[in-house]
Amino acid sequence: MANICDCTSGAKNLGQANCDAVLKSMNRVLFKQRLNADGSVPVIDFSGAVGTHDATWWETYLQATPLVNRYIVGTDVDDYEFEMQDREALETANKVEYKIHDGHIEVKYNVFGAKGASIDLYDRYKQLECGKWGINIIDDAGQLAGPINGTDMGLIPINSVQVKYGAQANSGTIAHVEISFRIPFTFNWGSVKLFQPNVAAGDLDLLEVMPIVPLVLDITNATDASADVDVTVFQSGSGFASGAGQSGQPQIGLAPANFTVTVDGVGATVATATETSDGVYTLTLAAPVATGNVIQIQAVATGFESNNDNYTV
Amino acid sequence: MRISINPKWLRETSVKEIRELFKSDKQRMELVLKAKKAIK
Repeated sequence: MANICDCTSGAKNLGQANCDAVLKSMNRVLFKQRLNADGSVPVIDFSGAVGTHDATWWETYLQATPLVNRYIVGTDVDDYEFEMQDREALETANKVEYKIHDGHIEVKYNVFGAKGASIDLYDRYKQLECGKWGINIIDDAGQLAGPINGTDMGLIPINSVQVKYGAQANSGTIAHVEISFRIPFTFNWGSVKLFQPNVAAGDLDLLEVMPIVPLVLDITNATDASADVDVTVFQSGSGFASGAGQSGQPQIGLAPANFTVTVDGVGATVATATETSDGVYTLTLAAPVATGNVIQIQAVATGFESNNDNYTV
Repeated sequence: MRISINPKWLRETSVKEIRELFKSDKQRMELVLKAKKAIK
């Protein structure tokens, strides 16, 4: 929240601490919806002792479910711009300027993939234009930035999100997604602190944090009195194949442990996963299903996560 | 075709149950039974 009035605290000296943390250029962004599924306000809990914030702890935020509770990683930040705007003020006849409020902050950057950003990636970034989002910034030094309240790091609120697609052109432009948003003037930028990597556990490097690649899982067949359930698992992508309709690359090499299956809401054991062709699996459950059963399947592998697909036998 | 077997399920499941589960697919049944034999 913005400081209503900073003027009651008296004067402050203006020296800067030796080697004080300085926010570097944005390297990654953590996007997070402003409310969790249970209505609580999301915070990153730094109440643990120094050195306990390791990769496993971090995964509770980056792999949280449902997705509304997750800190969604955006990487490949390039052409980053951050500009605090002039304040809004009223100039009187006496040529005195009275502040109405501070200026908001304009943030803009581009995402270029290794071979250009795909339309599918653009489509997923477009979700940021819906709902209310906040961010935490991971900078080039691996520091994490956000407003601090006690030992909790909250979100930097954003609004006015715009996501645009820049198509490949012959004139030296490669396909990219342009993301711009505003940090509102009501946010007190002075409340931002930097969590520094040198106080994290040894295995935590925020510059190694990677986004999860979405998988598209489709249950294609399950029949009465059979334990076999056919599924296809492809990476979400922009391609389209006639007949099959799958979009991205097939997700190969999945094993029973990669699948979470429920039948009528009760967990079911996957006995075997048979990959008949790339991305096409027959899952054999430990027991047959029956007409009317509702099967739900999700596939998760390191760095990949699918939708939950439902199928009524 | 590549088959991946749940090791916990394989340990806890009898040969008879495996035969019943894969009775409609002899090829997979043989592969699973072979794996079952290998862990005995």
